[in-house]
Amino acid sequence: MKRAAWIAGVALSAAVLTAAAGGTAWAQQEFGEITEREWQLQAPSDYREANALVIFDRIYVIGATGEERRHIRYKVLNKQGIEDVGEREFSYSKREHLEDLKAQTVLPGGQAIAVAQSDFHTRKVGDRINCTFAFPQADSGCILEYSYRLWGGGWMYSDYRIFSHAVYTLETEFALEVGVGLQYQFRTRNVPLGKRDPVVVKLPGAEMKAKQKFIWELTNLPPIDDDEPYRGFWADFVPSLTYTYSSMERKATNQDAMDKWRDIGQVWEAHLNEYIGKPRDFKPFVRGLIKGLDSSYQKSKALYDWVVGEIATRQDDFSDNFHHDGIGDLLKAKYGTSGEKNLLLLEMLRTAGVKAWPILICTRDYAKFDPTWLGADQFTHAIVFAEVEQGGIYLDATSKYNTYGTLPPVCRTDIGLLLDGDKSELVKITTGEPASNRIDMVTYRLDQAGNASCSTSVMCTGYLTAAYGRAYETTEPDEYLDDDILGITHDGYKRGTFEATLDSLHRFRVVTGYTVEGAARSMEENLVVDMPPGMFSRNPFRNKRRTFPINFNYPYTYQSIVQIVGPDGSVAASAPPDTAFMVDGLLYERHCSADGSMVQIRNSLKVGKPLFEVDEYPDLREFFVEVEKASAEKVVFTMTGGQ
Amino acid sequence: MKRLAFIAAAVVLLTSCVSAADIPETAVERGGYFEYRLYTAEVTDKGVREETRARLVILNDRGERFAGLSITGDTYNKIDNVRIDLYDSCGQRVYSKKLKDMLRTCGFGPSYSLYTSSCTYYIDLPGPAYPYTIEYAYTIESTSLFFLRGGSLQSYLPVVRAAYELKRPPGLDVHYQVRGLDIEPQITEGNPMVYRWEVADVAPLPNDDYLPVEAEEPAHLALSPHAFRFDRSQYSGFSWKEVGNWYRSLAADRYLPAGSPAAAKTGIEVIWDAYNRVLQETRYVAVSIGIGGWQPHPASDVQQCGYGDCKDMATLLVSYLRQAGVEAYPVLIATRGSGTIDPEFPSFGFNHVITFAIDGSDTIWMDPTCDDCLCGQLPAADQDVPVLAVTDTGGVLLRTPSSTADDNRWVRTTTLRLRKDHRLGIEAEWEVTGIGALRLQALFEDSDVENRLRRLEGYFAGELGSVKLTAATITGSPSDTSGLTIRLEGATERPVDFLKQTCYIPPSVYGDALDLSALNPETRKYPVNLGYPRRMRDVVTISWKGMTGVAEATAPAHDSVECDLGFWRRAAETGEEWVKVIQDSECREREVGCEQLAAFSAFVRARQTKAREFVKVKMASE
Repeated sequence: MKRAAWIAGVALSAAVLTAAAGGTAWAQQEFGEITEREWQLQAPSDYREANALVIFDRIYVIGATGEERRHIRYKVLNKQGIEDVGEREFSYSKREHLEDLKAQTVLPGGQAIAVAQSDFHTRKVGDRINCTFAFPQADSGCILEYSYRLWGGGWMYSDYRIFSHAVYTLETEFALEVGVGLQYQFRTRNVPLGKRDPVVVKLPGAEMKAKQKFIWELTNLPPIDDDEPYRGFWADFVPSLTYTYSSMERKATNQDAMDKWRDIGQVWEAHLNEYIGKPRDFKPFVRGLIKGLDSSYQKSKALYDWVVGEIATRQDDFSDNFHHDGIGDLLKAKYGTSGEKNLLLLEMLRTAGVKAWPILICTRDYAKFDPTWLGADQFTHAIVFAEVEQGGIYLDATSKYNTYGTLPPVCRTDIGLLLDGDKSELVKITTGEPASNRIDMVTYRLDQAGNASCSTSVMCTGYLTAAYGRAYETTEPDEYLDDDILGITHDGYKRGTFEATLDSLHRFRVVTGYTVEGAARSMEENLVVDMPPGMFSRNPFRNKRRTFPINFNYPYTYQSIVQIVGPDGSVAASAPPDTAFMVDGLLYERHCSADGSMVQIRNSLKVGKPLFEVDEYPDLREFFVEVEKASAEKVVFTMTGGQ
Repeated sequence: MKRLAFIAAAVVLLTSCVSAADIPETAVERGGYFEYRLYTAEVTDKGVREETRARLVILNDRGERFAGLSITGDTYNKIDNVRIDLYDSCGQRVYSKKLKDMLRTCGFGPSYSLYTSSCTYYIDLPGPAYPYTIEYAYTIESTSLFFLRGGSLQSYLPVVRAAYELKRPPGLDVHYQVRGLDIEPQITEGNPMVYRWEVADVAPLPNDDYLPVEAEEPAHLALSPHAFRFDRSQYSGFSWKEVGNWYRSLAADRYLPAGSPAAAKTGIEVIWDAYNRVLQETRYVAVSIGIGGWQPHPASDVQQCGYGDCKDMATLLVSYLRQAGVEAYPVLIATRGSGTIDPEFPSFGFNHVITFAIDGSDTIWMDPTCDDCLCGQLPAADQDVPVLAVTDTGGVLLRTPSSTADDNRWVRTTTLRLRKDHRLGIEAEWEVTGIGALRLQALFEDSDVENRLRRLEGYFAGELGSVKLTAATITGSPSDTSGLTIRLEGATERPVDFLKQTCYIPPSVYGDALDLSALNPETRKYPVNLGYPRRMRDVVTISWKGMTGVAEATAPAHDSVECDLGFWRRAAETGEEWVKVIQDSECREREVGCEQLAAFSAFVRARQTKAREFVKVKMASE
């Protein structure tokens, strides 16, 4: 659903109540005022394992001054709950002043034990201050609370708030006080319908000067599970509110939106141009790199290869801050973030006469781009769009494992903001998907005792080249072979040597030989051997509950061709049956054939779409349960008695 | 093992300005190496000034995590003269950094600490294409010789040259010991006296599986000053007695005032009461300010706020015990894996405080930071290490007890119900004591229902293949003498082998805690860490009750294997609709020495082979 709330500013879509009206699930208690209902609280029915609860977290922000008042209260349900909430920390800026800080433990009998002022400690990280403290005498059944006021940070231009906490939250209330004439746009994410728009309360005062209070209130929020596999777009699935100052005084139109993106584009472009500022001798340097090349395609490819090969990528994340002040420094230092490298590439392309533009994108590890949210804060990375004879191509110089003209998986996104002065606009990003495959060739040769001498060759293409290549570069070799490539957990497995290569077609190969003692179980005259493990032999989606969509990042196909050769004098007696099953976006197929003492099993698992919504999870999970079952089938060889 | 995997890396090196010939053998695999690590410590009557200098070459992405520098200082240890230079492969300087360029974080100590009054300066040092070189130097001016501890000569990366130089005035004695390397200092008499330890080609720390904690400790030079003043405390001598006296003086006024002993209770009851009281009334919260890292808070404060760190809790416990007339002492300990204490070398390398009480001829060890430990039971990290009991007359070196196999019992009674689809329904009851119980308790406390089930499924990594658990409950507690009981329900995910009308069911349901298959006894250089001694009993009943068509069932024969370190025995019974297989095993030691490894490996392998033998349930022909 595309929500138009940003167009209107917060005032337009919300119901207006008087200051006296409205009510929250929990009446607005003062510090230390605890109701009988709070004392009686137990673990909620939808989260029985809760050890502690946030009873409420109330935050009041005055937009004009940035002042923040907060009161948060917890209930400790058991001993483990003390571990969860017995020590607290909150953070603020060095520019802000912390006042009225108080915290206390309230024992079940009602006795309150305050945290002494000397027991509040401040930790510092750069410009941030973290206030930290422990609740005294905290025990099962206690109520813990603290409150504080922050001021002096200045006018609130924009803010991002997460409604949930590390423990189950009964209520989070966020109130923003807005003065006359100030307009904010907001968006909520992962917030249920009916709760997305704030309740608006007119504060007392003369009609024309009355301030307003915008209140969002969410209840019953389970903690976010950070361990879910294949999680992406994390910012989209944490219940949150973003608001930012908006100067719009009237109802906006589509033209306004276009104008706004153009404006944002111009601001960004000016910012990036500061970085790009050409260093001395840049032109001859670039000309040297493209000497003898005629076409834009050749030039762009040569320059792309140079940036990828000569400038090292040093970043933890695509949204990392730049290392340098400009491309002059970058060229000198020969390392930078991928964003910096792309700006260098951009300027080299332009210098070489290739038409090129930067495109700002929001990477998949962060959030899905929302074109209805007119905020520059959405962008985490810049890629390059270049025009060559064959058409437009998107370039990102992050890694040698990405072929020219493809983007790293995390940069695969639908929309970006192309920066082109007053022609800056949102553009659809359509990249040719490289075929992403992993193909395993596995051979097991069994001896009479059931021991196997084995070889495995893994070949990756497309985005999987980047994934496996990067893992190879950063992981301990033994760990890489055992976990990323083979995945064998059999206690008779003995690692061998391996070789990893990247060929000129950007195919990444790993070849290894190894043994598995006792790979086959001996049962009278039979040898029974399990299929060698492959990708998804073990279902990664074991939990029933799922909070985040499942993000495979890109479509791909996994194939394995397994040959199991029985010992001399044996014949294949049974092999897994042919099978195929699918759900929308996923297909598994297996074909087996046997010839004398050799069995060949061809498995194929196709991930046809990159993203599965949470409501598709049960089917997806069931699919992988079936894959695991299929992967657990066996091959039986019968000894025929002679050679 | 030589691997061909690094062809690409080697090509890079050969085409760059750094010569591949200079690179230590393991450097590429580890990601880099230290060209040198040098320390110079100048002792004065005001303290010590220690300079650290290093030159580190990053060869590939695996080495990237070492491309940074972190320096910690506090009121007593002032950081100065930080110089960092980064060079490309041709020796061209890429950039230089100083202290002001580093990110300053204050108040953060180890992860378990709420607050500590130290500041850490950190900087990432990204470089251009590999290989690149980081050179850094800094000094720390310490106001007390207490902080003179020596330096590490070994690292996860190989070190081409390491040296430590100590300069001291003739009157200020410093004791030394080199651990993990066989080197002697070069001594130059004079004022100052100069001691120099130097070593070349230090191999990197091992990266093997099942390493004993001692093998993970870097080779280093340990220093211990003969005398120092620290804050208002002072120390003199080179004995454990004086180390204990130093702590005793720090803690002397921190105990509760003496009380009158409780009547009508035996010594052990009093000890239990005091221990349980501390456990119930206080929780672990570490706040360390100034000398507070070594000096406990007053026990009355700890009592009042209900929290404290290890030495606070020990002080409170000792107070309660002494009030009740029990002889009790705080005990300084370096927990397993945090550095070894050499009984021959008095030093201050402790990181934890526990409590020791005497009841008649019995000694009771207690660690009140372990929420789930029974009185008298120590967590695994505290066991079997040298410790310093701080008595009224000074320090006395003791050794903490090690739990025995009998303390750490696992009795797992498991019923496998054969279904028509040849999968097995599982009902299991585990009764666990000791360290295993502590770990299971932590597993239940740390995870939600689904993640708990997933983690418990990991215990079933036996011959049955993967298992899907649907329920897990826990009763009892590790602090109950009978331990805790866990009940599990679930089913296997794949059918058992069914051949010629016979189901082959492996009775080894659980993964082997002693899976040493990855170890090669012939090439292994280090002892093998087995975790903790334990006794295990697995009673597995395979039942086909309600199933028709079973003609006969056979169980594997009684069998056993033994070695010096333990045994494995199997017995079996057969009923009308069931077969029961009982496997008893014991592992008596924590470690297998290199010389025992071949025999122990053979024992484990034989055991594993036997444990794979099937229960056969033959169906009547149709």
